[in-house]
Amino acid sequence: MEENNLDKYFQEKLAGHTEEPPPAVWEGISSELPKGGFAWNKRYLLLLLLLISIGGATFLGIHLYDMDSRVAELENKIKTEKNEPILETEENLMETNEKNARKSSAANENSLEETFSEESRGIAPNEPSPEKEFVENPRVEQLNEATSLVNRADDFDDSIQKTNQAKSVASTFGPFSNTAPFGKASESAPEMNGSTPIEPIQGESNSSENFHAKTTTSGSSASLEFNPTSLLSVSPFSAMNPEFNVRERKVDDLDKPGKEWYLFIYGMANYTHRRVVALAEGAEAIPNRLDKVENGLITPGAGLQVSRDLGRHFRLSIGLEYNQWIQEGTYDIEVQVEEVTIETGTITATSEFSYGGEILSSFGSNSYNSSSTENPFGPDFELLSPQTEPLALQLNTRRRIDYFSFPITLEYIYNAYPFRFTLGGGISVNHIIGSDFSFKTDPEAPGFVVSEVNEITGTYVALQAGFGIEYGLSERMSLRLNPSYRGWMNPIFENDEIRTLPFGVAVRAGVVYLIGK
Amino acid sequence: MFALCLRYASSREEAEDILQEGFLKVYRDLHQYKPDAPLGAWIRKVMVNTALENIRKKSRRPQSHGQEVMAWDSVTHTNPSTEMNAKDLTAVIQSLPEDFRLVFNLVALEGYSHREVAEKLEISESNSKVRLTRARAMLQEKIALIFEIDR
Repeated sequence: MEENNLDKYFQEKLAGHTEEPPPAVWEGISSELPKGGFAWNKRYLLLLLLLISIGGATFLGIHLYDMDSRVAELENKIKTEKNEPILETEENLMETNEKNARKSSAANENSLEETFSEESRGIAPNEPSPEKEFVENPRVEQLNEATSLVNRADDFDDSIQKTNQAKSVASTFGPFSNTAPFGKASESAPEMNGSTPIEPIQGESNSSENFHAKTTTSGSSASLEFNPTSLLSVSPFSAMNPEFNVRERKVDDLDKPGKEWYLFIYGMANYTHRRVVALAEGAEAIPNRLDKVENGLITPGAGLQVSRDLGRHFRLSIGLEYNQWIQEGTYDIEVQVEEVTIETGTITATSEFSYGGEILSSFGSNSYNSSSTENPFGPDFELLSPQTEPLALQLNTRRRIDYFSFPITLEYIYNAYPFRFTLGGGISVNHIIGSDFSFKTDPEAPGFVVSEVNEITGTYVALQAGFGIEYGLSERMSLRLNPSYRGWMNPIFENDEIRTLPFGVAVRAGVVYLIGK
Repeated sequence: MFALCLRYASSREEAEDILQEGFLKVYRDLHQYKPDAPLGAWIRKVMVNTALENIRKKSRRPQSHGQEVMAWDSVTHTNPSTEMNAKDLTAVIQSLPEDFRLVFNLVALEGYSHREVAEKLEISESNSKVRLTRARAMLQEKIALIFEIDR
């Protein structure tokens, strides 16, 4: 600090000097202060809604995933069992039916209790009874699971599809009930007016009742009645059929829809711009003016994304992207030389021409100044006249912002082989890793310097939404095109007059690779 | 703080605006205050910055003339046997042209360096020095003139 007697004089005299502001000032401050209570900000509300949406969709997706994948797994198992083992045992089935027919004629006179007694069946007391065998049979667990799935499926609105699946499950088991070992189902038929009510599965506590399997007394035919309101029950004897216990199959090799992991590697073209909002009275013209002189450019980017299907219709993705945002501006300015310092040396005299000012861009103020020994005005300024016309300049700026994005998205999937369509959105966390500012003037001005008042750094949250089209090239690889919109929720610049919110459109194109199930 | 605002402003009304705006900024930005520095100094800094911002905004609007005369007229020193009081000196500072007043306040009274002033006012350092020299010369002239008139 420069010390000077005059400065000291003022410092001493003004030290401790107080002035009472008029009461109107305090009233003005009080009226400007926010009132009590939590002020709901639109931004926070949007964020809350978004989080609720993502949470709800994820919950639903996981729930459906659980449902769909288990049903699909069971279907696959059943398909496997249905095709090969049944074909293999057709001859055995015929033989069993003939035996059943013979046994049923002999047992028609016996009561139901007698029929089911171990003695009447000729089973030694120490031998495992068919009922016990049924309860302990691992296939029963599968049936229980099928029953449970059907009931759960009914809880969802797409009951038709699910019910058909369940019907398929039940119909697979149904025919086998007619070939129950020892023909006991057929023997009991007369007692039940020609049909065998299927016993509730032990340990099962189904409240919903969907199917009623019925065997006829002929013993050679079987039918399955679908009754949406009846209890889903499967004959315990069906599980005891040795032919039903098909050999175990490895289901790991089968498709498991809803469990796929994908890697999406892509290049992208970004167009990022910004929306300027006027905040103060008298600042309404600023956004319009800035829109005329500033524009964004299309820039390249790249990224990768890991996705996992949540059920058949949803996919959750997280990615890492490198993005650029280039914003150019052309600002007309007029400058007047404020001060000319003439330092007289022993021989030569030097003049310093200095002027300065500032421009308002959508990123805040940019101050500029020039301090040069070169006369910026040319010969007209030789006389150092204060009446000299202002110097008109055009300041061209270019600002490049580099940032990483971490998008988290949830998409709805629609499959139409070989195409796959997706629609969804989510949030993107954008972290600025660098900002480069360059400028030039027209005409070139000596000693001209532009400095940025506001440094652009930080992490911002954006909402993003888009759709995707995939074309399958092979079982594991497909091409994907993914246009999306991204709107930043945090302003990249804000002062008393304006707020700047970036937004952009990006088109991602790349390869999707199925990396695992 | 109002006294500080008066030294930066060219009128009492402008000083009131600066004070009001400055206190609101203190309220809004209080979370940015770091307790390792005195609170008074931080509030003073906010006030100075608010004053500079206010003047910068004002400079974008068409300038009104005659402010210097108004401030100069408010100097009420009439007794040559006593020294000028703080109110008079404030009025003398207010009477300076804005460019000179700001540099004098920042360098001579607030203790900023020319480099810092150059950054704050977006001028060159040499320009800041020139302005300070001119401001001092004008203040001396004005004070001398007051005593001359009083005599």
